[in-house]
Amino acid sequence: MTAIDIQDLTKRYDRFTLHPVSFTVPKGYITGLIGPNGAGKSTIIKAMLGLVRPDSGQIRFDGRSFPQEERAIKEQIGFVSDENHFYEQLTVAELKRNFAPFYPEWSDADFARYANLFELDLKKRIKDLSKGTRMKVSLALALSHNARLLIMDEPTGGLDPVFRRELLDLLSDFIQDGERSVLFSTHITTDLDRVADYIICMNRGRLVFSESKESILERYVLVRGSNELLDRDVRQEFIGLRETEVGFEALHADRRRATELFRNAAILENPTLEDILYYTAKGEVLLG
Amino acid sequence: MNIVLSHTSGEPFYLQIVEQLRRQILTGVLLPGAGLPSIRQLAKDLQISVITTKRAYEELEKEGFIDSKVGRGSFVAGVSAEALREERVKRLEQDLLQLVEEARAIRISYPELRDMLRLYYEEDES
Amino acid sequence: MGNLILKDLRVHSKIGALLLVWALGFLLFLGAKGLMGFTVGYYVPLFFTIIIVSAEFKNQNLLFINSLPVTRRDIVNSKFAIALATSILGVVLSIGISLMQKGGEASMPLEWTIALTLLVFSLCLLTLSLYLPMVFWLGEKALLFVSVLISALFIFLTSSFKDLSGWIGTYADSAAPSTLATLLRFPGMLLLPALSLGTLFIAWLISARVLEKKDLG
Repeated sequence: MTAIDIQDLTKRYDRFTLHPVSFTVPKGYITGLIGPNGAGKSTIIKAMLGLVRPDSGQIRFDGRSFPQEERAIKEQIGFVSDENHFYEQLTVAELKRNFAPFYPEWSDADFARYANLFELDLKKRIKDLSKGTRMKVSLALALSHNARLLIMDEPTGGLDPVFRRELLDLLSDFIQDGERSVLFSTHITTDLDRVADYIICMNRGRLVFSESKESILERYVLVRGSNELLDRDVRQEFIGLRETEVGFEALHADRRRATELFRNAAILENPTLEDILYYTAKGEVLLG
Repeated sequence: MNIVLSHTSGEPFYLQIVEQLRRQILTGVLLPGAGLPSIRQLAKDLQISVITTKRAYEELEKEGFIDSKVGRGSFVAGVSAEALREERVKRLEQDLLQLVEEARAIRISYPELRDMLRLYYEEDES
Repeated sequence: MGNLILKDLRVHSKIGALLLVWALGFLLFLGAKGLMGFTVGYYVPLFFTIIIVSAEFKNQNLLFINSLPVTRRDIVNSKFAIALATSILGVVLSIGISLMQKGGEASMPLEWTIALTLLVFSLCLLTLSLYLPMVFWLGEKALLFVSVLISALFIFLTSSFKDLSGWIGTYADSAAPSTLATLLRFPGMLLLPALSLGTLFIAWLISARVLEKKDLG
């Protein structure tokens, strides 16, 4: 039951290389694709949509091969991007009219409902819309053709906090029947802290982990303590470490091991996804 | 039913759900046969991961508090009055244990504790 | 693919209308007298196709289009279909011009009308055969290269059509045989468009190949 199955995907650019990446996006859940800028999130998403041609590797959607069955696959994908390259001179209604015929399962009623919910002015031209409103247009279009998979590339960038929360409800609604899935790429992890079921973490063109958020948050632990606790062996235990004159904060990938190691000498806390992202990126910088 | 999650307590969400539902079943707030929201609906309402609610329901199912049927959702299991009482006695014993430990910690002797207990017990009864 | 073509026509309908108005104005005030009118048959389809295609590259609309349920091949096909269809529209325009001139002073033998129409059609296809693969390869920069060629052709066409005007007169009078006249008669009349269609076909194969491998984002 996988919505997306990626095997050994690679892509080489002048200034960036995507090393062989494999992961699956399970069906019926919300999966977050996280990583700092330049981690390779965008390249992966663009490869999934056929905007970028990978050098090697396989992409399959619900058993269908991409790009061999590109049209059938994309009919079932709703794509939401922070850089939607719509026709600027068109109004929202005109854009819809040019978008709808491409999707056999398009529903005008659904679109009207979302346009109303998002308070879209159908007569306004795309070029006059704010970034957040463009995102809402993109979302309304993506949700109105009975898509089985919603792929969102940095969707929350231009959105205000109120709508971001509402978006989480929309995503939960979307996966209610257990047959639909969401893949959500972002570097703003607070949205995913709440609703994501699975997390795929990328850094510098490599996969860091791909597993359920529950197990990630249970496995990783944030350690805070005084600098006396740090020696060479201890330092090597951490994924990433931040030292100041008054103490350190670090991320450990094994809660049990960290508990044994520090007992009551340090404070052990649950990390957020942002903590994990931060220390993973920081750690790699130190190593690299 | 009510579920109120604390985001700052550090206790995993799934445990908070398990404990709150268990309590509501044991105290009769949720009666046997009562329907529970689907795992996806509950995840949506609480704005948390489906995996978390799934895990909570699985835990409750394992403990025999709820029944899940494919395609029909989850229900509060028919817990017998005896089992209910047994469970509540067990919890009472745990609470008593805590009470005794606390009393020991602040050096309250058994007779003193007994007297205090009697006072509360009889006061409540009248 | 049909949806892609319809989308292009809808999105750029205003530009199409504007071009036709321009063509009409050009004919009414300038073109109807000499053979200059035939240049309209060349420029209307050429400009319309180029505007549609380069706008797509300039605004990166191609990224949006490619995220729709279409293949790269569909995108190339739709552009070539538009190129061919507008070139045929050019033929219609050329014949229309010729009919307008029928009543005028310089009435032209029928075979000349056909020959010039086919010449215009062929030049249109040849220019697009050059432009389209280049735009799929280089993006909007292609216009820069092709515009040089278009300007050169413009000078050539206007000057040679002017010469031809006088020359047709002579031809009509004396029926003097010449190389160009022979060429424009039966074999040349069909050979040139056939060659141009062949070139467009090759351009289509190359474009499909080029776009297939390209990274759009």
